Amino acid sequence: MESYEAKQRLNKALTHVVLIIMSFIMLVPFAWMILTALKTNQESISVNPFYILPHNGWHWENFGTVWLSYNFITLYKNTLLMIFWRVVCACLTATMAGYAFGRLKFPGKNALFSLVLIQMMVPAQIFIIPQYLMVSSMGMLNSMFGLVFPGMVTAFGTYLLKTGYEGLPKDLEEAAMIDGCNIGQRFTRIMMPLTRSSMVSLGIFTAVFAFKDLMWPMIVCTNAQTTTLSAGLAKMQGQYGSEYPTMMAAATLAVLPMVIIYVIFQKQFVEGIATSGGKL
Amino acid sequence: MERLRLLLLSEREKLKGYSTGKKLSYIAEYYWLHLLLVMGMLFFTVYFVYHAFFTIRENWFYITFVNSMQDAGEGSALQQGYIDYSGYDLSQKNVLFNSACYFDATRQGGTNNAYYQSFIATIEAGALDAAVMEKDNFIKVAESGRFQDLSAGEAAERFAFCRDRFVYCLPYDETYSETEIPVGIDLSDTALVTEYGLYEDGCVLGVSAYSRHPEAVVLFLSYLGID
Repeated sequence: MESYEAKQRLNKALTHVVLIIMSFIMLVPFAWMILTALKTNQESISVNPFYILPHNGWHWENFGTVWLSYNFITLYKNTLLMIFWRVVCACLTATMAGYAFGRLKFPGKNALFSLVLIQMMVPAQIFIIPQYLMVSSMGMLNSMFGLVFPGMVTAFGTYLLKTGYEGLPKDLEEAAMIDGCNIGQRFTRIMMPLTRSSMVSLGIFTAVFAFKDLMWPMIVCTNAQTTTLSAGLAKMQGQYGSEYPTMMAAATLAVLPMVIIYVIFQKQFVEGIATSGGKL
Repeated sequence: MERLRLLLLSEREKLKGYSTGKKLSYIAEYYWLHLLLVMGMLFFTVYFVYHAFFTIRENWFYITFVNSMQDAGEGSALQQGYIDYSGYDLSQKNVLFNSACYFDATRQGGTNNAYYQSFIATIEAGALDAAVMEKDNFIKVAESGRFQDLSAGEAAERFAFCRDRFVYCLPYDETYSETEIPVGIDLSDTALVTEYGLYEDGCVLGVSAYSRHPEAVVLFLSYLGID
């Protein structure tokens, strides 16, 4: 009995050791980024492995330099607004389309849903040029609408919500129908609140992908007043290409909103991955 | 319509006996979604109308500097110099200079990045007028036919003044040409290298295959002292 318990303890300890090592490996790039941001340029390009920590003092002024050179307030504002609107639009359109595909009966439903699935199967780059031409002809380049446009409708979200609605018992809707609810009331008051967890998953996925999106903001935003953090960082590469501490300070500032969002919604992030089976 | 009128009448009747606070809470309770939709529609209408009237949609000129070592983008001295030189009215159209673009078409996998994809997208969409990059990189991109053949059509006449600077490549599309064609203009001895230090070992300018403002490219060359 005692040897069984000892074995269990050993297994647990080994598991923890492996997990600690893996966590350490995952954290190294972030630690490296923050430590490089606090070094001098010479220290940052040193190949001496003992120069992990800054040797000539902690250069917090790198953050000041990059903060003053680039309008980070505008970048944060644009990024957060883009994330907000993409999440709102994606959740709104996906929940309505998901309900229609999951619960309603109408001619051509399967054919239309196949179109949605096809959209998931082709690379997103294919849509870039038509989307750019549409946004451009609407006069929406360098605008929030231009940034949000490709994320307003999501095939993945429609699929996710359709599955969510399909999983709900029919009795609920039938009971609401007997109570006199019309289709709109059944949707808004009964069915939609029950798919909250799927909507949260979709919101989290949309937010993360919007934050990471580099190509679209680079195409659609050509001025610093309308661009996002990812595209702003890309532009900084030209200005501070060889100044790694400044670049890393900018990168550290850029990941802050996502870290804050993650800390606040940690539980939902984990649940979201478990619900959808996706990865971020 | 009749149904809506009856509904409004019955709701008005219902609200008659309520105090103002109760009226508001009733409306908020039962009509929050409708109010939200109306507010959303109003917001979008105002937003679209504003952009339709106040956004500058067109460009005078759009150029990208690929792998530039210095910032030559928005607000740079190079851009400002060109605007002053050209005399373009920025209240009508934009002059776009972009130096946030990095790829190496000469290397296997060197174009597997968002920079290259967005660069290609702006060419294919007809937004980009010209691009400047290192010679080897340029030739690799030009082989795919994304820059104008400077010996064909209107381009031949327009860019004849800088024939001695032409850079040639053999296009992938053999049906177009089986011999080398001029696709770029060598700018290695211009201010881009000597004054602004954008490139170390010279650079080449290509006119985008779908450029809508080739005359602005000529003006840019003239700004650099090539005329």
